[in-house]
Amino acid sequence: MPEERAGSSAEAGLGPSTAVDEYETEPLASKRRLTTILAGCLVLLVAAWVAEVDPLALVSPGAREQMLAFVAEGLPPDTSRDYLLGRTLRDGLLWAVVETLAISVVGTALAVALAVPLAVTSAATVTHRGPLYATASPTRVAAGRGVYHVSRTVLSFLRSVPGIVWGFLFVTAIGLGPFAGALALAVHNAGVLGKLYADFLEDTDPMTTEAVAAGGATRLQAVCHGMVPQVTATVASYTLYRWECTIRSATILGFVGAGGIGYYLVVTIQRLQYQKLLTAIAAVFGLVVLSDWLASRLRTRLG
Amino acid sequence: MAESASSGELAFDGVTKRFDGEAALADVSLRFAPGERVAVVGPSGAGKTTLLRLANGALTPDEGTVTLDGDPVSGADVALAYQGETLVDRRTALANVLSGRVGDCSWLRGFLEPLVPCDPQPGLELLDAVGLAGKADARAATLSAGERQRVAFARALARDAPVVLADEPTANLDPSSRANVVDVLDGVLDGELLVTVLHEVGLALERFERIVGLADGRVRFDESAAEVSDEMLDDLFAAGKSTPDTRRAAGGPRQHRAAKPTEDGDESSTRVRWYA
Repeated sequence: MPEERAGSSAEAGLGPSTAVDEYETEPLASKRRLTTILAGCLVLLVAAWVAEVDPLALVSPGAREQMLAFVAEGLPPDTSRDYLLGRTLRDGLLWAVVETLAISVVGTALAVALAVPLAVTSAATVTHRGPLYATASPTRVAAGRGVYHVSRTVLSFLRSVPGIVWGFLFVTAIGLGPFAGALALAVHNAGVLGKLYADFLEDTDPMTTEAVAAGGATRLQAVCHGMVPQVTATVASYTLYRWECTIRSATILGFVGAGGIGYYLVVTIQRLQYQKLLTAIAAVFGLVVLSDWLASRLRTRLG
Repeated sequence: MAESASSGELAFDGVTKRFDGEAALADVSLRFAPGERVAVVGPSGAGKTTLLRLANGALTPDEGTVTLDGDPVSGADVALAYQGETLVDRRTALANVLSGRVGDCSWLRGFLEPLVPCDPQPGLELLDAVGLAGKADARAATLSAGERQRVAFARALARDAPVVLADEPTANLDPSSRANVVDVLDGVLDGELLVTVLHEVGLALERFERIVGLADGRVRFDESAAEVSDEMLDDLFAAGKSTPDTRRAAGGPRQHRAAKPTEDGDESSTRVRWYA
């Protein structure tokens, strides 16, 4: 019974009753929560002001007319054989859909290939912290910390430059086409995936790794047999999620000539061909739904 | 498993180990003879696991030395059976056991052996010895807590070390499995020095020859099981930073700390309730 326990712990000299402490700290906790909520609201208001948020602009008569005109002009969508398949199959909308899918697959695969080594050198538990370094010399730990910081900086740089900017750079370097798009996605997503993988490696159970290291494994072997198997399922799941993201990113890479369906989106907007634009949007939607379904199937099998 | 225990004297001399400035072990000196069977008991946070990790070289002492036959300890000579929870869930029981002998393989082979073993026989024999021959290909995640603990033993024994340590092998097990796990450990050992940390004092007194009581990083007593009295255990657990909740759970032959009244009346029964 709670009353009995509180009474007896006081009698046994186990310090002041914890119930009293909890009561006294309760108002402080709720005050902190309120401050957090108010601070959040303030940040939101400032952000809305900077972003020039104006809900009335959406319902102004001009805006409504423009939207209706777009829908009216876009219907029915263009489903002509010429537009969908083109003259040689490779110049139609459907080929652009396939190309977008291919860019995302190649881009993600290259991103993983780049992200894995960068993640290993960006995880503190691999480079200088935790059970693998409990008996390491200070010089070894300092060297590991150096590698860690350099590697984390590289990852931050890779992901801070948007995919479309990488696309522009690669188009300039190797010319127009889907390969430039795949490279752009690879480099940007290597930054994103590398950070995720590294964070997962840092979050592993240290005793599991120590137990493997105790079997005489070198640090790299202990990472391979103790740390990596703890994260493979999460890594696979997040990689699939990133692949879904790259499909959406791949659709706009065409804006800078890096292949895929983005080319159709930008051209039809520029030429005010709303029927064709609507078909292209529907194709993107179909692609996203398809990839979503495929990813969830794969995730279930991997789980 | 290992060669007969003609060697294997493990010695702690004035060992202090601190974490973030706080001493987990303070000036501990202990000597364990070859072939001895020792249980280390004490409240949570007493430094029991730190003692074992220092003994297998996973940690280095801040002061003092830990030696095996006079030489600094290494993982190759002192095997520590970590808790069953530390198995790699996604790998099979066999792969987990084989990961315990990666140090005996060449560098390159060490990356492959647990996954595509050249020589799975020693791993299979160890699994057989702990009664899990049929579970070699089962993922660790599908094993029960008791089975996981036995795989952890097999993993630790994979290197044929003359000293075997076990870290709370009965943790997370139901009472009937606890004694069984100690039976398995007895069965696979062949004269090696065994030092195990145990939560269950009853089981320790019943099954081990020598008992070391550790609290707040210090050795409170180091006696043969027959010499350990109720008062010594009372003092040990009263000295700890926290109190154990499994102390009496093993239901061993000696039920310590019966609710006997003391001078200040209620205190004893209060503490008993606190322990329980």
